[in-house]
Amino acid sequence: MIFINKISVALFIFLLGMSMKTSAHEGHSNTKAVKACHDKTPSSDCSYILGEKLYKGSCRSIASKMMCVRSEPIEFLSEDTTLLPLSKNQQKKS
Amino acid sequence: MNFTKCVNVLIPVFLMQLSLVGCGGSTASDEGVIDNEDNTGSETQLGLNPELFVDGALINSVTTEDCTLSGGTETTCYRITIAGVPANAEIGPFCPPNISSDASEGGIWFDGNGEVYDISGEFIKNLDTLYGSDWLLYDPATGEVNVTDSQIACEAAARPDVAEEYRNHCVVCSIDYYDGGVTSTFLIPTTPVALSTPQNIGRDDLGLTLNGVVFAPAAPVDAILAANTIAAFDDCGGHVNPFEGYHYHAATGCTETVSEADGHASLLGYAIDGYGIFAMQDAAGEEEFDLDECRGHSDDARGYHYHSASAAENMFIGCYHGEQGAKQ
Repeated sequence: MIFINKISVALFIFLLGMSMKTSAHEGHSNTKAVKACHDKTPSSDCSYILGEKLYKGSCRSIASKMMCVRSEPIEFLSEDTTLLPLSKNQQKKS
Repeated sequence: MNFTKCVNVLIPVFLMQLSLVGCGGSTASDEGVIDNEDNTGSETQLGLNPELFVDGALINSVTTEDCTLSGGTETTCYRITIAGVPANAEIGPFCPPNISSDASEGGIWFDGNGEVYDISGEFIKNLDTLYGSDWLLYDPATGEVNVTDSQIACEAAARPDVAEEYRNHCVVCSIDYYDGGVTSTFLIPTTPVALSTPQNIGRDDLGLTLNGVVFAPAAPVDAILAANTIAAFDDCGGHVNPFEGYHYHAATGCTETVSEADGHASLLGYAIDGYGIFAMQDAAGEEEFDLDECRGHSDDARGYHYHSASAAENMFIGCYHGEQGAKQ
């Protein structure tokens, strides 16, 4: 019985540790980036707006959740919602 | 419950836990396809340069050994053990002590919704307007911010099932609780091996920085916020948890230790597939226009490499371009 007690204690401690480790980086972030790829297939184009910034890229699975990965420079939305590049000089890199 | 019954209950739970780890702990999915022909379109392909690590970033000298990459390629890898604390910067501060504190007494916070906030006392005071009326991270009578001030408090608050007494807390875990740093050993291919199809990122660390810290996956800010907690980052985009010690969730400039002669963005570190991860913007403050879905591209000087996303995006890179080594 003592042996079983030790096993129980050891298992409990191990499980507690594993539970904490498993959950350390679970959960998701960047809700809008996730919503932008809802029902989309991998590599589909996607975009979302946060504040006055437009993020454009493609959908990738990260930690088993599809989300929009930005691949283009952040664009700032002007008052009339015309999309403007981050800076004029960026065009030289295109 | 007697102990025999306890064992009967624990064993199935134990098996379930193993299953969870098996699913959630992989570095990447197995969707990648090996491509022995490097498809970067560049003749030059720079791999990891051990000489670029900051003094004090590594625990041991870098060695080379045979290894098998995630896609089965047998090659050689660097064995690199990082200190787990930044060799070129102090850790913290994270949470301000009082709602009258200025931004210099706290770190930063990002929730994936496009902003990077300075955690000043004013920020703590106004969290109810940002996240809801049930947010109150300070004592209204004294203005003192509720900060986890012990290892027990830190570990109780740094989990999804946050104990009730640690809700509405600014969460800080001192690196002193974990022997001053958690070391990590990586096997990184000496020459990156490109995949024909990029491979998904899992929940494990993505790579290592030149100053001796891991690139962690996205911070689970929704789970953190669900507990009315702020797991504050320092100004370098890092914080401490009980398992990884100090780790980065964002690139804010602290790891930019090597400048590129041509004005290209600075090298931050390396992904676990051996490709370099560079800053988001070049020396002129501009972003690249031709990044792929992994946030990488090729140029003549460096070959294929990644560019980190912004802190506000809570992300470094989008996928793996190459076969990965391992974190041990």
